[in-house]
Amino acid sequence: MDPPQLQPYQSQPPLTKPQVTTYRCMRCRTPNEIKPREPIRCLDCGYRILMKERTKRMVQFEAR
Amino acid sequence: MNGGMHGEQNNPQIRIRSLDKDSVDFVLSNTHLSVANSLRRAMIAEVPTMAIDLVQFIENTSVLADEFIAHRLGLVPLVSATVEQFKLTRDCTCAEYCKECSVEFTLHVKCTEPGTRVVYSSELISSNKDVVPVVDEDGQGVILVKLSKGQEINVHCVAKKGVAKEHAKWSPVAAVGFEYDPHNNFRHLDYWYEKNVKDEWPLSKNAGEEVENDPGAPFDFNAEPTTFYFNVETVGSLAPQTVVIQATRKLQERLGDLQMALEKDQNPDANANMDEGDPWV
Repeated sequence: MDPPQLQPYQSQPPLTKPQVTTYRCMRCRTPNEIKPREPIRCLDCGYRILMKERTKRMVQFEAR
Repeated sequence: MNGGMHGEQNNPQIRIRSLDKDSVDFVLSNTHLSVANSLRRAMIAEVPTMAIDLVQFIENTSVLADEFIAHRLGLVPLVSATVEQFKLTRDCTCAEYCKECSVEFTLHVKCTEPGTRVVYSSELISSNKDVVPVVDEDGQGVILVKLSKGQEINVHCVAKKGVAKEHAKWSPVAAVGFEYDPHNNFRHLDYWYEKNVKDEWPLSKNAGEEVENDPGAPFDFNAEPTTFYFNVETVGSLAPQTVVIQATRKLQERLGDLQMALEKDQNPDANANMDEGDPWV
């Protein structure tokens, strides 16, 4: 099948996949992939407090 | 001592009472209070030094937030004896920073053993051997962070030239002691006391340099201070004598600029002749 045709004003095709973010369980530290509207719950131990991972990108600050 | 005559103030003098590695104590005399205060302010805020201004975090798993560590790194004193070789980044031709206007530092520490790993400013690795963190006798510098097992910090810093009127981290001094009229002859101070002023307000060591006015003598409303006692304490980035000299240079520079501007202002025709158009005023 052909790739979807780009509209002249679009630089990227619209995202079709729901965004998945990895969170880490506060109790057992296992990474959980959670999609929007999913219950916030560790799939491994059922704990309901998850933490977001730090960005892997470099971050820059002014030292003032 | 009671000199208010302007003729006496044309020949300022400095007498150095003590000088060591990080402080100088001197007496400035035969000058006006405004001049002495300008020197004090110039030493605090106008003498350029080097300080970390940009921090890039590659990894930070310590307990301290990135912003917090960046701020601490900014306050680390750096040996700035070669600061005159650097340009201010805003006057430099480069886009962001280059070796003509900055010095780069890296710090990469990971704690792999149980217990606390203390990270000192002396562990910052400089790209320029002349601009390094200030260290005292123990050679460690100041504590930046403490790491426990498994925590890691990996940062890249950019130190730039600057002056303390932009940010206090660039100040070469920790404190500038400034005093005049130790006997309060001019009554610029109105001391609070319970029973007796003299018992409750001990004289400073500078009081030995001057005599107290006769309390019965009539008060001279026109008297002005002419002798000023300075005690300059540096943070270690510049030698104390350098701080004083650079501050006076800066004052001279400023006064020169002011004089030029005034001359230009009083003689607008000189500028009008530059181009043969109509004068602006």
